[in-house]
Amino acid sequence: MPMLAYNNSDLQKLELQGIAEQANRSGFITEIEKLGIQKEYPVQFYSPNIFLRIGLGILTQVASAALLGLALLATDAQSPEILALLMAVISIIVLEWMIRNRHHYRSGVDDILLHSSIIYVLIYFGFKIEGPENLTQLILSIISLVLYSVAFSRYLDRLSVLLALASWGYFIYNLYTNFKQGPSQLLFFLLAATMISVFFLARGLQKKNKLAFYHSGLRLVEYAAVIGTYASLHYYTVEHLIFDMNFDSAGQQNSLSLSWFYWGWTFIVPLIFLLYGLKIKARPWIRIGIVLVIAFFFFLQVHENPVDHEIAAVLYGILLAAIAFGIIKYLKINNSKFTDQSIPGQSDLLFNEAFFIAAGLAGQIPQAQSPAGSDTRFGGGNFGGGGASGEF
Amino acid sequence: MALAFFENLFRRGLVSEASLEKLKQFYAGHHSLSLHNELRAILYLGILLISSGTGVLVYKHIGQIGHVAIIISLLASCLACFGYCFWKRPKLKAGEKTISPILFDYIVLLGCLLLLILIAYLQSQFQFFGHRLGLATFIPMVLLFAFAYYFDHKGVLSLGIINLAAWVGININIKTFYGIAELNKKENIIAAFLLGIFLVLVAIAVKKRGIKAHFENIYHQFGSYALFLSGIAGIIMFENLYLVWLLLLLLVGLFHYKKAFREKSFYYLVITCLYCYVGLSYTLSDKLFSLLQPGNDQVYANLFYYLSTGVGLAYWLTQLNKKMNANASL
Repeated sequence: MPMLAYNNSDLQKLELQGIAEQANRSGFITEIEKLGIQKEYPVQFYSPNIFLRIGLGILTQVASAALLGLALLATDAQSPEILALLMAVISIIVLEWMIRNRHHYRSGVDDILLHSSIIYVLIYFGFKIEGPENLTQLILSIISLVLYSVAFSRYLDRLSVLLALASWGYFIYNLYTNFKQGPSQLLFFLLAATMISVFFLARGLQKKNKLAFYHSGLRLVEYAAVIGTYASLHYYTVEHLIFDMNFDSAGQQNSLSLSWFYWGWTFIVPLIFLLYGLKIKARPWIRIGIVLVIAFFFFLQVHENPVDHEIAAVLYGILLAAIAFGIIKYLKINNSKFTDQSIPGQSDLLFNEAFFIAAGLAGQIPQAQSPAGSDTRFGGGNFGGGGASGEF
Repeated sequence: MALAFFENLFRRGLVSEASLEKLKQFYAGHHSLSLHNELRAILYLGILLISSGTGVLVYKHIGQIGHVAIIISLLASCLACFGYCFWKRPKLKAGEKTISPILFDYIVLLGCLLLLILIAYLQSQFQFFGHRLGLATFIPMVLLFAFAYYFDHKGVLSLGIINLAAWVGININIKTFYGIAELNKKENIIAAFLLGIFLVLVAIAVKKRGIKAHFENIYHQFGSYALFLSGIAGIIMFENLYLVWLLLLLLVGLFHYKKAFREKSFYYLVITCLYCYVGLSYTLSDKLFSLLQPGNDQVYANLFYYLSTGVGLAYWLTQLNKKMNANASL
């Protein structure tokens, strides 16, 4: 069975339509030009907008829950684990059918079918696996890691890739606690090391031409992994897991060794993210940096309580407003690198450079109109040029 | 690489020379990164922190600060905010696009939030409006609507509409699940339905007459939610008149369905289908399927109903979506 469930040619045309949309939103091409490009690269996919996606997702969930209820009623809930497995198989069959025959792509229906099938499989294994709690959790985390990774590989589902990363972190946690009673400080360094390795892996994979369609998902993993690395050694995480989960005695609460390191990490790393983002002019890094810097001060207030919360709110509010106002004023004069003008879509357009390089679209544009009824599923498309092999 | 793609499109006549030039400039790196949204988000967070912090500060430190000091400082802050906005407000000239000063929208919002704190404080500490609680919500409502129109602020308009709902007896806040928990009384349901009709009529009027036509969407969204939610609540709460409420809900649905197609709005299409589906499903489950033999028969009927209608409505929505898209491209 081919890895990708979708037609390569349609995926590529969809990317091109998206690029035209972003170029239009950035004010580089006109609405008429955008429509012309989108007409030139028509796609068969059924990808409704966000409201319809949510609506279709809700209705799919209603139907899926009703089917499960009927199955439970018909069998008197004799063997729920077999029913869960059956529901998973039915969900996947329907999902594949919807993709092949109805060309659903991020329609809400496929999202719900995919995730409910994974949940049903996990329920099945939850019933089947017996043994100590820690071991059960370890095995379940491995299974969910495999399932979500396969889901991302086949259906390009971005939530799946994030859940695969979460499963990976949970797997490391369970693996460690299975061998050692309760988390110790080594666990947090181990978690940080695994997260940072995922970050570099995701970065490396984005350079591979064959994985052009996975780039947006891998980029998400990259950012999530870097946040995960930060969170692994965040003072709150360490303190919460070491003390609150009562693996150490309460009397030790004031003696967290390396606390100076955790505090330093908690404060300095967000600043590094922010400065790095500003240096390379990358919006996601800037956003991560801003959110984490603000979160640090929030954490500082909640944890150390230097002033009353309401006074802190007023002071931080004034500070934030003053900083934002000052920067806006500054950018009115010095706007060579950064600007305060609203330009939606500009940053996304830069990200798509990677898609062009990977897919080798520069020299050879994909065929504009595929003949009606021609089946280009699983391995069609012939992209070359630009030094990329472009074999999909 | 990306530029080569656009150059190819230019050669094929799909992109003009002027557009290609802009793209060349962009890909050559001669562009500034826009921090517009990030800076506005920080500014907004700052204003929210100031207003919510002030509210709690006043509440917690009444004894220490003293009534007069609190009132004077709140009043002075409000006057300072509205004074700034009055002098800095964009002057509207026919045919010209106006640009507001950076902080304008945020200061208007801050001033209005502080005003609400001041009025709440005066009422709670001095019974400023006596026992006429309606007046305590009516006065700030009038002021909020006046400021929303004068300073042309959608956020303040939303605050005004929430105050209007409170005035008719429906508190929209997190404690009442944004008003849903208030719909357990018959008088509130009727009030919410009438409020919904009023807001939708206002939305139509402002659009038709061109009086701040851009406020239409705000009025309509609040009105639509009030109509749909009160319609469903009416079916549940009015035991003997549930068919009347079902009919009203379907009429509201029909109105929104037409609006969705007229304006090519997927948003209105989805909410119309889902709210009507909830109302209709509740009626069938509670009134029709309950006539069946209690036990498995009722459960089977319900499950078959939800299975078939879930699939059926999803299919119908996709067909409507395609129809709407086809019409849009005409």
